[in-house]
Amino acid sequence: MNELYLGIDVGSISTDLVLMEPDRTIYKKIYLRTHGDPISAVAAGINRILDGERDIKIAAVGTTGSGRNIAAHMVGADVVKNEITAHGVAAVQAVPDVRTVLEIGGQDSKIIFIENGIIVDFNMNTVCAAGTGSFLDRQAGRLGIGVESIGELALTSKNPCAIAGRCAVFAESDMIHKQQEGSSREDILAGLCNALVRSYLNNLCAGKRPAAPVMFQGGVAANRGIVHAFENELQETLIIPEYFDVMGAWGAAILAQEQHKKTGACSAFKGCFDISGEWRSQNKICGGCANRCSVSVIYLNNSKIGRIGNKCENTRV
Amino acid sequence: MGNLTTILCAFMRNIGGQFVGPLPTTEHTAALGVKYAPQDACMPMKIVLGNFLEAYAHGADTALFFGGKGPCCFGYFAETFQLIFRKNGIPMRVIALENNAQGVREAMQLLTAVGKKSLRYDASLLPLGIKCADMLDRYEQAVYDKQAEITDPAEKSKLRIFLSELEQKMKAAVSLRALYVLAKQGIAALSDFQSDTVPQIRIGVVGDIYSVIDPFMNKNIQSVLADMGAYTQRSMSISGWLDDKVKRRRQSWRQAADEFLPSRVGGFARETVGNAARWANGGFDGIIEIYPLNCMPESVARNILPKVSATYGKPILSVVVDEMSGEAGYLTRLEAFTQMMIRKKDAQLERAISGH
Repeated sequence: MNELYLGIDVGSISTDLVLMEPDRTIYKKIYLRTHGDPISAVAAGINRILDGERDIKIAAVGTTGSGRNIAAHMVGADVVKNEITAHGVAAVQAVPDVRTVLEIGGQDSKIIFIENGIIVDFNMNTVCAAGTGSFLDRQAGRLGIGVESIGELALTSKNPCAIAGRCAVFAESDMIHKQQEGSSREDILAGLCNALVRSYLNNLCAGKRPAAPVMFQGGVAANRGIVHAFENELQETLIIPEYFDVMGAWGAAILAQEQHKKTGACSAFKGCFDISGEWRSQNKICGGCANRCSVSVIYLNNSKIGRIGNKCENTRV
Repeated sequence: MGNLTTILCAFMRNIGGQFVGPLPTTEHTAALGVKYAPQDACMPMKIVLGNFLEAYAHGADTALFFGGKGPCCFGYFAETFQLIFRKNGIPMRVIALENNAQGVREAMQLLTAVGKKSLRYDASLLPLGIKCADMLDRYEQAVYDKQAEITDPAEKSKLRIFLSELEQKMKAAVSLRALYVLAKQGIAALSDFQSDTVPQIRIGVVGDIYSVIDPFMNKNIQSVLADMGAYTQRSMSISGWLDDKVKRRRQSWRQAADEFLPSRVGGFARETVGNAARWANGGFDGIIEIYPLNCMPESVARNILPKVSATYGKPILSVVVDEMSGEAGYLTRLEAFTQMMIRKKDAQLERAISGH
């Protein structure tokens, strides 16, 4: 029987799953759209990744991403970790001497600084989502193209427009302004890529120079326009790992393995989902005390299986 | 504002004034403040305004607030609150408490006039209040330290229940002296709880006074970090502020701040930079700055902190707090930061053991 580690990364845009061999190579991966419904995405992902696998045993499960808690409740996770640690660990696994990791996801963008295989500093976007996957998605939708084609179109531009990248709302007004002036779609998109990269480096590097080797991962790494703009700005060739789109899930699997080795405990994994079961989550105000915290309650077939966001033992929801 | 509320409530009971409070700060408080305050005002201002509006709904007719020149736009809060109440037809009077003995006496006279009854204020209450602030701050630090030393869920939950009961008692304390005794007993009682670990890392929390002290504003940062396995210390406390401003005891952050930000830029920017530098230089593994969006002094400090970080080779994280109530992004950043330092320590240890 083959012992494998399962990593799940539930992000705002995509839900990724990875089955990892004990030697840390990826056995199988799945990349799904979350579509605003992490519960269905996780259920579908688990069923799909385990489909047809008879001769395997899940040794440990790790979850990460903004939906890591809900996923952990659903599948029975052994490790629940933030996405910085997960991405950093996976990056070091892919390229052991990596120094800088650029990661742009659906809602967050981050930069991770690594020395000797250890994360030594990181930064995440503060309050604005300009430059993240969801913003690119929206702009592609507005221009009537798929988000996948932004990069290719941007690369054909000869004369990129100047676009403000500091704020998503400014960037959008600038793009509309250029569009009404008659600039071509290619030039606007190339301008957008440049602006986003400039604002990313400005906002996240905080005066630090990204040292080579530089890796670029996360869904946006598929966008060649952004890659080109980064390479221009940094004067470095970016390494885009083979599994750039599931690095978070891979990292979660590695962290699960680390923990499993340390404790040797049996996995809390619940196995395949009864897809007919009805999962739902409801937001409630706790009446336990005067603080009135907002708590999400997770139900399976109308019975309570977990709570997220409760801060004490007095929770009453 | 954090334990200051508890102290002021005990003080009001001491002098026999009728008052409303303490009301907990909730999302509803913040929403009220956001509704009535100018949009570009800082979050602390909006929350205090929300507190007063809630107190008004509970029957308060007078608001007592600090006046003075103020370290930043704080100096104008009392005036601004009064203008906002007037504009919206809210019959609430704001009394500004000036930062000196005469100011306290004047405020007492005004309160007496409002309450139509004489107050039992005497000058000995001020030093007693300062002693109380000191003990409460020591109590809070001891609580966070203890919380970080316990990983066993049953013991943790026992501690939480004990703390929430004690804090209810503190909020209802009949006098400053009673509050002082409760805090002192609280510190002693902490030894009844079994520590089962020694946290490997120590984090300094810096920022403007309101954000650092108020648990609603900073989403209980010290408690969250304690549960993540870190000792913490915060740059601002009521007693520290009193030490510096009232007792004029020069504190060591000043010297450290001179190197990076020699001139005053308002608010607590020099405290933020100075404490960050002092701690990064000695014994701390990392620093977290709590930055309330559109706080001018903190945005100055925030842009100097990378230099502090580079000078001492310690990571510094700035986390933004605003009216956004979603905690996921906030917790992710805090967890990533503590995990980074813990993993760094683990790797150092491993290397030391394997002899490289």
